[in-house]
Amino acid sequence: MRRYSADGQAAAGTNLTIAELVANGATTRARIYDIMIGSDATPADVATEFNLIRGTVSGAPTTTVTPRALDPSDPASLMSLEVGTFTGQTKTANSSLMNIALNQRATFRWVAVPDGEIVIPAAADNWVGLESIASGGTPNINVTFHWLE
Amino acid sequence: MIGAQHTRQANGAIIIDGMHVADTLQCVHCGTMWIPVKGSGKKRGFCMKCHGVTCGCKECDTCMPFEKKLDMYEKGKIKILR
Repeated sequence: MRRYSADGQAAAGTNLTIAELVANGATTRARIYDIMIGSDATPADVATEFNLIRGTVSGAPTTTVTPRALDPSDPASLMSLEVGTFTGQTKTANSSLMNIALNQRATFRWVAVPDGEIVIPAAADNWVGLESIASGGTPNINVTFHWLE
Repeated sequence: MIGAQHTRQANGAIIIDGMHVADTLQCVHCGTMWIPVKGSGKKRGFCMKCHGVTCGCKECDTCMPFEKKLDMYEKGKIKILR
C-alpha cells in the first residue's frame, strides 16, 4: 500500500471543520494511520475539544492541498485535503470516531497499529475530518494526516 | 493521561509532546476509537464473532463487521456510515 501525507491549518472555534481528507472518487479506500495536531500560534492556555468525524459532502473549502507521496516513485494520491472554512458541507451526525481534548501548548499525535487505521470508504466526496467542537479561543490549529491507499 | 490504561492489544497509541500517554481501542463494528479508562463507568462490549471490543452503542450490539459495513455502504445498500 502506498503512503501519503498532507497538512493544513485553520482557526479553531465552535463546530468548525479544520481539515477534511476527501475521497476524490470511488476508486480506493484510504486508511489514516497517523494524525498530528498542534498550534503555531503564540503559546496560550486555550483548551479545545476536537472530534474526528465522517461526512458525505465535502463542500467548498478555503484551500485544497495536494497530498505528497512519502515514496517519490508512487503515483498521485486519490485523496485531497481540504482546509479552512467550508460551505455546503454535509457532516454525518453522531459519527465521532475519536474525541480529543487538547491544550494549545501541547502537541497531540495518534498512531494506529497495523489494521487499526481509520478508514475512509471508496465513495466519491466522502471524508473524514478534524472538527473543533468548542474552544476557549480561536487559535490556529495545524493538523497533519498520514494515510495508506 | 489520568486513569488511561495501556492495553495488551491496542489499536492505536496517543503521544503528547513526545511521550506515549495512552493506548486506544477500536470498535470492530464501527471503527470508533476511545481511550480505555478503568472505572470510567462507560459500558463497552465484546463481539464473540469478530473477537474484538465494541464501543457500547446500541447500533454496534448486533454483529456486522466494519469491513462488511464498508462494502455495503460502497454498494449503496446502506445510506449512512457511522
